[in-house]
Amino acid sequence: MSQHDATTDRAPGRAPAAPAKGGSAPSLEPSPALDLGVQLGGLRLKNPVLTASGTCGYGEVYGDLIDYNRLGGLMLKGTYLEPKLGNPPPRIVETPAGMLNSIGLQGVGVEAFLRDKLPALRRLDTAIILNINGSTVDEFAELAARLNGVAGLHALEVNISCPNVKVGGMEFGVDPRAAREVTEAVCRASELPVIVKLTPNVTDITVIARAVEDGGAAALSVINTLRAMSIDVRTRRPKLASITGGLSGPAIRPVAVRMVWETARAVRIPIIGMGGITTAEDALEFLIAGAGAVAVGTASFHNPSAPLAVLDGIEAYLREQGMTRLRDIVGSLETALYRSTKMEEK
Amino acid sequence: MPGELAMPAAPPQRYHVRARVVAHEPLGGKYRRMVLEAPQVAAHARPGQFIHVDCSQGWVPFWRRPFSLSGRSGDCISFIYAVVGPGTRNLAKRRLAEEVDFLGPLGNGFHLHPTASPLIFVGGGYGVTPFFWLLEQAAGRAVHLIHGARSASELLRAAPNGAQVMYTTDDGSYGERGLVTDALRRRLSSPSARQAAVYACGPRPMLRAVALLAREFGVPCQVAMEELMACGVGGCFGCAVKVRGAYRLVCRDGPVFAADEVDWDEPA
Ligand SMILES: Cc1cc2nc3c(=O)[nH]c(=O)nc-3n(C[C@H](O)[C@H](O)[C@H](O)COP(=O)(O)OP(=O)(O)OC[C@H]3O[C@@H](n4cnc5c(N)ncnc54)[C@H](O)[C@@H]3O)c2cc1C
Ligand SMILES: Cc1cc2nc3c(=O)[nH]c(=O)nc-3n(C[C@H](O)[C@H](O)[C@H](O)COP(=O)(O)O)c2cc1C
Ligand code: FES
Repeated sequence: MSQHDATTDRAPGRAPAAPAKGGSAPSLEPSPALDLGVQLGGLRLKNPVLTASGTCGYGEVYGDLIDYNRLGGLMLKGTYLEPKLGNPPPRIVETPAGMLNSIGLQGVGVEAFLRDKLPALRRLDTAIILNINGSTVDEFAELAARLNGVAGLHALEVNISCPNVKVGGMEFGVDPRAAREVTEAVCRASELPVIVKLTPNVTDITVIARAVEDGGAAALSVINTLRAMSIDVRTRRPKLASITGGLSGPAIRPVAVRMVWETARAVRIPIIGMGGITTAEDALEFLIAGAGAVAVGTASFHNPSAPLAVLDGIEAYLREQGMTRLRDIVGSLETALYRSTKMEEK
Repeated sequence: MPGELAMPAAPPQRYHVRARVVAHEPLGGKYRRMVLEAPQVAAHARPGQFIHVDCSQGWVPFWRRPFSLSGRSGDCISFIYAVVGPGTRNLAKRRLAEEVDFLGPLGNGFHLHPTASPLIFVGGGYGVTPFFWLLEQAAGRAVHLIHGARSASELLRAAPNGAQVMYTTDDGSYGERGLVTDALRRRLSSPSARQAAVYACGPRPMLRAVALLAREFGVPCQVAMEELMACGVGGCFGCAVKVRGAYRLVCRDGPVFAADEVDWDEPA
């Protein structure tokens, strides 16, 4: 994790007390306007940085610590039609460069969300995206329909990739036919742009991605957590009560970048890339690999202002590169160089 | 009397700050005290609340580490920690005038019963640290502190002035041999303890035993609980404990809970 070492000397910008401003290099030239806007199907974001589902609650968690209005959007905690108790503790484990979680989608249910959580979110100037869950196709569709005509919601993110629930969850995300079926049902039921969140726990993510694209999704979220496990050798017990959980954080970033790259080449719909993003440099990897936007999840637990630092750093990078539009960087991966050097070696 | 112990809601004033270390000293054994200059945090903090401290070097360890506040003085807050692993070892290296990045104050804090007497504080191991501050808040009232650990080296023997302290160790290497709950049972058996209230912090098995004793003697009891924490602010839903049949979050809804509302028989 050598690229993070610079943060240990407390560079300004880690705490909101002194937020880093991108592109503040002294210059007499007025800097040209930077277009950070992103179009995800029918969803317009003012910039490409979102919070990842399940890591900022219903948007109330960090609202007093960082300015959410600066972000492109908030992807809220997974929600079902009904309230969910969640899994028994222990639910989390710290692992090298990341963590396991098995929260089990504890949540308030859609009615309480609409009544108690959404009103405060309407005051924010950022896209609000609800992560929706169900144990049957019909439940997904019913929830999507319930959210039609609700002021203040801008898109749905369909979670067919949670590794921590017994029914539904990931089983829809590992089978192309089931994935397509859920996508079609939600798209049919909903008036909102539908983002479908894919699991990395498959042999070939492009098969699922194409099925979901065919099902009518406006965009894809790539990736959810990797199924994983950790054992306490003293007690010989699993460290999670549910035995297995989902791995997130920097540990999964190279896997996520690879999957975003594969997916971007397989589909035409835009991708929200996520998995271990902690800094702007991390986020840029995803954008260059083909993601149109990025989400910051687990990193916020370490540093609540990580999403803002990511945004500032992307801006600074674009200015440094003399670019004026975010979309110029998206999918700009340069592979020719390696091929030609390899050929020269021959 | 559960009604009398209604927990105050977590106060909304929380900050993410980098605070200067103004004192950092060994307290004997594995313990150290750190004093941080953080005026906003000091202004809003209360005993029983905690701070979530970035103890990392190069993002290792990845999570912050939670520590109970052990006092406030002017613009400064202090906490006492045991050096036990990578995070606290990093923390122990911080020097005067360096900055420490933390979130706080977090959680709800203790709520002292207005009339109960005596107030009995029970601290197991480093669970004694929040009582240093609670003792100050209870100044002028009858207070007993029972502090226990496995052995003398795990006791924090820097008890504040004027407190009546009873020490226990499992192996008898200091104070009374036995568990804090043995001492607590004796204290609660005395007729002078009929109007007592109990406040406890320590490992879950100890808290459970304290809660059962308080129920047996019919006195109100609050417990400050501990769970592994990733975010510390209610974002990850990782620090769940079952309270009245539903999972509540130790970092946001606690760490202090009314003892008779916790589902003690749940595995954890
Ligand atoms: C609300 C709360 C208040 C606390 N207050 C204090 C305090 O005032 N003084 C103090 O010395 N300690 C306190 N702790 C415990 C302290 O957070 C851990 O000792 C610390 O996180 C250990 O980190 P480490 O990297 O040094 O060791 P690690 O090697 O990470 O852990 C050493 C041991 O501590 C346990 N541990 C790790 N993280 C936590 C955690 N979040 N909660 C509980 N146990 C943990 C581990 O399971 C392990 O057994 C508190 C914990 C909580 C939840
Ligand atoms: C504690 C926790 C809870 C999560 N909850 C959800 C959820 O409710 N729905 C969902 O689609 N993804 C959920 N995720 C997955 C994240 O949104 C994200 O896809 C994943 O963690 C990878 O990104 P990261 O490494 O930046 O965290 C959760 C992740 C964590 C760590
Ligand atoms: S530690 Fe994340 S919710 Fe409590």
